[in-house]
Amino acid sequence: MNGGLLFYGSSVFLMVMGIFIAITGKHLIKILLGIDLFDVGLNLLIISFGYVNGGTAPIFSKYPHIFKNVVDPVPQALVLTAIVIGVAEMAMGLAIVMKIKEKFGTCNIAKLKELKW
Amino acid sequence: MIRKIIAFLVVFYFGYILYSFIAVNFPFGERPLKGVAAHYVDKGIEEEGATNIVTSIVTLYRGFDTLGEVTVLFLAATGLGLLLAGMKEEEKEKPEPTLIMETTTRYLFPLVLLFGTYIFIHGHLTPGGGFPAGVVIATGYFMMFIAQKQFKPSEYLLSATESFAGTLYVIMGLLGLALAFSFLANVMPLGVPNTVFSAGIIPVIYIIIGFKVGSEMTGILAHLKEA
Amino acid sequence: MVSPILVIALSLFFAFVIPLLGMVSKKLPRLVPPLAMLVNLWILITNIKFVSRGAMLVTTAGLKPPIAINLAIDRFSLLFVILIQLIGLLLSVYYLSQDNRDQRFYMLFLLNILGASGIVMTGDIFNSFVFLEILEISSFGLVASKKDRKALEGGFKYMVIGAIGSSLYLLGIIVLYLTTGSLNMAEIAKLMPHIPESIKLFAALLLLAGIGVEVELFPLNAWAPDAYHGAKDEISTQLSSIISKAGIYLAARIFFTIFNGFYALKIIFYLGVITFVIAELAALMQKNVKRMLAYSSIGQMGLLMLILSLVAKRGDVFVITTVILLALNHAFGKGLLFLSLGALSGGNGEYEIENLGGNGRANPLAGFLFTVGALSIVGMPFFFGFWSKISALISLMKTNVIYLIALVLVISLVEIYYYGNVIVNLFRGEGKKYGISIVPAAVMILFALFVIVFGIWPHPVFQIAQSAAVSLIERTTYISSIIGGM
Repeated sequence: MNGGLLFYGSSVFLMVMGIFIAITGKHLIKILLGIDLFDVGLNLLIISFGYVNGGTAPIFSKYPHIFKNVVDPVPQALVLTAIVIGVAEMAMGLAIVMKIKEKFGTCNIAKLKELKW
Repeated sequence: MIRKIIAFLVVFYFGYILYSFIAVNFPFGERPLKGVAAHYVDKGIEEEGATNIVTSIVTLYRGFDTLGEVTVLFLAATGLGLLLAGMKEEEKEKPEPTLIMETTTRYLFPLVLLFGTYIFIHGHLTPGGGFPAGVVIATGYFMMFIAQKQFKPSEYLLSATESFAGTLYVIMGLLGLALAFSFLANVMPLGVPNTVFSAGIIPVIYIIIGFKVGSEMTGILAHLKEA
Repeated sequence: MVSPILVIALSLFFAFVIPLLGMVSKKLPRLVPPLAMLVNLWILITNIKFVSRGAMLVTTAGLKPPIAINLAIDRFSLLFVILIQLIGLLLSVYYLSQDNRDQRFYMLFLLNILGASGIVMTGDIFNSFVFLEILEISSFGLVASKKDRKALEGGFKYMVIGAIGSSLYLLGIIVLYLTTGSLNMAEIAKLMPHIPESIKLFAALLLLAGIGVEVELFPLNAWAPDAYHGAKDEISTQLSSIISKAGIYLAARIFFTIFNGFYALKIIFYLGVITFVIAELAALMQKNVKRMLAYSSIGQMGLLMLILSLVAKRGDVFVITTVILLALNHAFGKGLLFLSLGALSGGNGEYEIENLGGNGRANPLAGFLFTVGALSIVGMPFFFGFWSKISALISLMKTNVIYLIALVLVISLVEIYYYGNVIVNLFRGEGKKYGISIVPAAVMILFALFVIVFGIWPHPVFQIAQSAAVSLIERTTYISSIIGGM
């Protein structure tokens, strides 16, 4: 099977679903989950950009014998950063949602008069 | 309903554009290593001594990013504390953990911590490193939160660990500035690649990150659970 | 020579140390931010004389770019980082008078300034993403920290839009990385002529999505009125004076240095015009003064972005100088307005025009300072805003977009009308008197002194702005001073 369709297609699909959920979701947690799904899709996309045909993980554990055909290590390092940032964003988002729930007593956008876009 | 369908169509249209753009311009797996990536793969072991190239990118070549990343996590832990401070705990029925759960977690907990420690110590040799290790350690604590009713880590200790590890990280960077005129430079001997005591400051940084991420994630989980 | 990387390293160090100090004494954390900013300003000022033509290269990890991350500081970034740290210092002094804050607030504040300075100083595009995230996460934490309904609402909106915007920014960075094999700004700029047009456009649009959130550009600014309105007055000052300035810097750096004034700027031009017009008209409709200031702030940013985009037509030093002058006016004038509005409303969140009636007469100092800020923003003679508005008109004239001059003049009248309306209201009738303590008053007076002194004697500011603008224009010098050979 065409790897491009599988990897690119599925990660773009995740991103699209994430955005769709985020803009149509009625519940605050749902919106956050949509954003998270978008992030996950993006991270997968970045990882699949780094693939090199026939490449292995960029870890030379048979040192000093080195097999030079490896995948691009940079996107992996970048994604590590992006994941951590996503976690931080999600944690802050959840904290805000918890406070909203405490103050307004609901997480439903339709009932939050002040949270109209 | 109409709104949803329109949103669906618009979003999928953009997704289709994105997909066709990347599929045409960056065909899957056909991009040769070039630029900095080629340098890291070719020279990585000579320059930094770690056999795990991703690790040397994360901690050294792009170590400044990692410092920022640790800061973001620190920020999240801090912001969470600030927002949730003084929130009343809702009175609700919490199910009692069963005996099996209580007993197994008690035995599993030290093993999980040990595993986390193993991951961050071997970050420069095997997949893993400070971030996954920190998360594994936090998982251990999370398990305890769920299963043991009285379990509560000292907030004082968590925050002290977090601050202390962060300060230590910055000091490691300043050490590079003092000794090699460059922030976060690898100032320690590289040793023999593929052994535990190799790769200069990478293991040191990963140990610091392991402690920092572990305490921060635990703090975040504790805050979210309490509130 | 003191390495400028210490600005970031020491801020981080101070932020990490706050909890340890907080364990010793509850009073200590408050003193950390002013101390940190003072040290940072000292470091930056000692470095001024080392930054001449081109950019100053500061390596990390002991390796040259593009292998490792580096800081690249030219006069343009130096001006912005000093501005950010200076306003940070003023605000942190302002906080000294409030003793009921959580220590974590100071940590967020310090990291917010750190994020803005990092964006301005870094020479690596992915690193700018990391700092952008530090800036964003700390700002929505700060916005929501007031913990009432409005603040939470603003914080949540900011979070949602910011998260999506910065993810798209990340995708833009990755597209650039895939085509050039580098993440260094100078290297990407050097390789820019070899990038196919379609990829350029795609990357530019994605990057614009991330930056647009910070500079409050039209489709991405839905968060701004609510965040400004919901946040505390000092935080609103921070949003308008620091965060949007970092956004402006990033836009100039990316679209000018990296993309070399590429035609994506055309899109910014139209978005800027739309933002400018819609926001100013929305400001006219507002009954709530703080919301009005927020919309006015968005409008100013729109004007800034549209003038920035004119650089594409002619790499003109004067246009960039104008951008810098407008940014300075906005930073000090709008900051002053938000702070004095806080003093006028007694900090109890009543910002409706009728509730404020007469408060200017009851609190003459705050009323006077509000008037000064408003006069500077609308561009009255003898205030700094006059010079920035005049240069904006001249820039428009120089770049042959005459029809916009009429638009800017009409919008200026609108601005004069709604600010005038508020000021007249402030001094009519009997108002409520609120005390103002000495430290906040001093900080506001410093803000006001900037717009008054440099309004009467704008020469030094012009010169500084011009030399900063020259260093942004000399793109090849920047590139060759970072990676050599062009």
